[in-house]
Amino acid sequence: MSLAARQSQFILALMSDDAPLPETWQERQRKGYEVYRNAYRARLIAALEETYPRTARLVGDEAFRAAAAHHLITYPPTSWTLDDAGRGFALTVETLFPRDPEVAELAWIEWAMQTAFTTRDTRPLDGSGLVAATASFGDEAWQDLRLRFVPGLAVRQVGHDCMELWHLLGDEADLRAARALPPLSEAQGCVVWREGLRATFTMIDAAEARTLEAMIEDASYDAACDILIAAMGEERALSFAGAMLARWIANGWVGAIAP
Amino acid sequence: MTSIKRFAGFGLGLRRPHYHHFLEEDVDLDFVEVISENFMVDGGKPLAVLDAVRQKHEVMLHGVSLSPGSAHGVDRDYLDRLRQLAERIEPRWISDHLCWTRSSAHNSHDLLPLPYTAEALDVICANIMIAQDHLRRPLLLENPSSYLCFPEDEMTEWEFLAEVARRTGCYLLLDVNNVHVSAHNHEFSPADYLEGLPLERVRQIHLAGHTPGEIAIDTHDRAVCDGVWDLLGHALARTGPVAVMIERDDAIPPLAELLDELDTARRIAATASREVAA
Repeated sequence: MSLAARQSQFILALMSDDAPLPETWQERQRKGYEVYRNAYRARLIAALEETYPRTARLVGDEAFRAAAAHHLITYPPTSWTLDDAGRGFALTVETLFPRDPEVAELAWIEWAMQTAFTTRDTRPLDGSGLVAATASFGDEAWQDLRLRFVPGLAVRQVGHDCMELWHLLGDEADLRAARALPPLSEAQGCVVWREGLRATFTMIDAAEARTLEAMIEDASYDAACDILIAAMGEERALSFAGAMLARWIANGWVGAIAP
Repeated sequence: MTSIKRFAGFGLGLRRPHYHHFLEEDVDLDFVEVISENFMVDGGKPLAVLDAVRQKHEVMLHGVSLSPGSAHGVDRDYLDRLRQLAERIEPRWISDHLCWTRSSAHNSHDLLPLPYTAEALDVICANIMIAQDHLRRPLLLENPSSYLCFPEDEMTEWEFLAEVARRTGCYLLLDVNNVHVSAHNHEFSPADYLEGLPLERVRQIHLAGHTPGEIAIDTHDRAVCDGVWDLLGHALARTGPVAVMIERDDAIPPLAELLDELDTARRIAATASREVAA
């Protein structure tokens, strides 16, 4: 058997108790192999616990470890970095906890924060930068305005007060309150980004979240305003749009005006 | 390819609970070693911390994911990232392990054992040559702790490691705790292991704690044991002064406790040095 075939067999058996070990192995080799098998599972589950500490608190240790094991069997790690082992875990828990959508929302936030934490360093566009970049803009240029957002910025719709949930699942966790948190009466948006060296998040209006999602996908300011108009009517949308752009700039979400 | 000059000193692995000491104080160390992969990122706090620590200390990059023993070759994306980090940090050297971590499809994130065969020797030497060319420097290769030997082994680990060094020009990172652990698990003599290595190519020595048992396990979660301290003395009497450091990755104690433990290494090194001089 070639070295490549041996290595494939060795690694597949790490992932499954049912995978066969080489017939030539004696008890001694089998005992040694168990050390690697146990270490593989323990290390990867520990990596997910480190990435998703609040999700783990919310669902409880036993349920979290079962979910982590399920994720690792479904999506065995392929990347050289252990940080990637938790990629897609929010979708896994969405499937595993269909009646508790806050679990997937929280996992999404924790993953987005880990991603933002080590994203490329950039200087966000500030207010004076925006003024300078748009000084010569006429109506048409404003309508066609497109933004480039800072690396790591992520947005999604959520049905729970994730700020409160985050707080309740901190170091002095109030698990009972966290698990009893009712859903919001209306969905909101959640935005994750890096502020200096710290990853953080905030909640925003659902229409603003849809607008932000669209502009991240390269929609024009005019198209973004259409989303707001549909959500809140023209009069309110136009004043909201200006304040919204100022807020994005103040929060450090915008990296540049698209050329 | 350039050679790696000897560097004698005492250091520790840079770990997150101790960052504030290294950023805010003058820690009495000659170098720190970091896990390369923790800093092979695009930006943010990890790199900011490492940049700041680099202003004060020599840094060695120690990897766990090069996978030089992989029959499927080395990962070019990984090598690109590692080279970027090396260009930024200018480490004294870069090290990784005599092991493999991934197959064509999956990554174990563990230091898996190689069969010590002629085929595996060809594979690891070819991969190390590619890595050294890409990184434009020789590597240090560390002996791992292992928990099984393969029936098809054609040579001992020390014969295998010596041949890798001879063929590729790489240097050695001698982990005396790993020698101790593997000697227990595979019933060989640590003295034979040391005698079989080209010790003139050792540039660094690792120390760590392990969990004893029928199969000893390299856990890095406790103080260095007496048997490993003894082995350090034997090794230093043969290598001469090199960089010595303690790895602690779990149950990490206060920095002061590790600095005290490092003083033991300093005393043993001084004794070994006097014995060599005599």
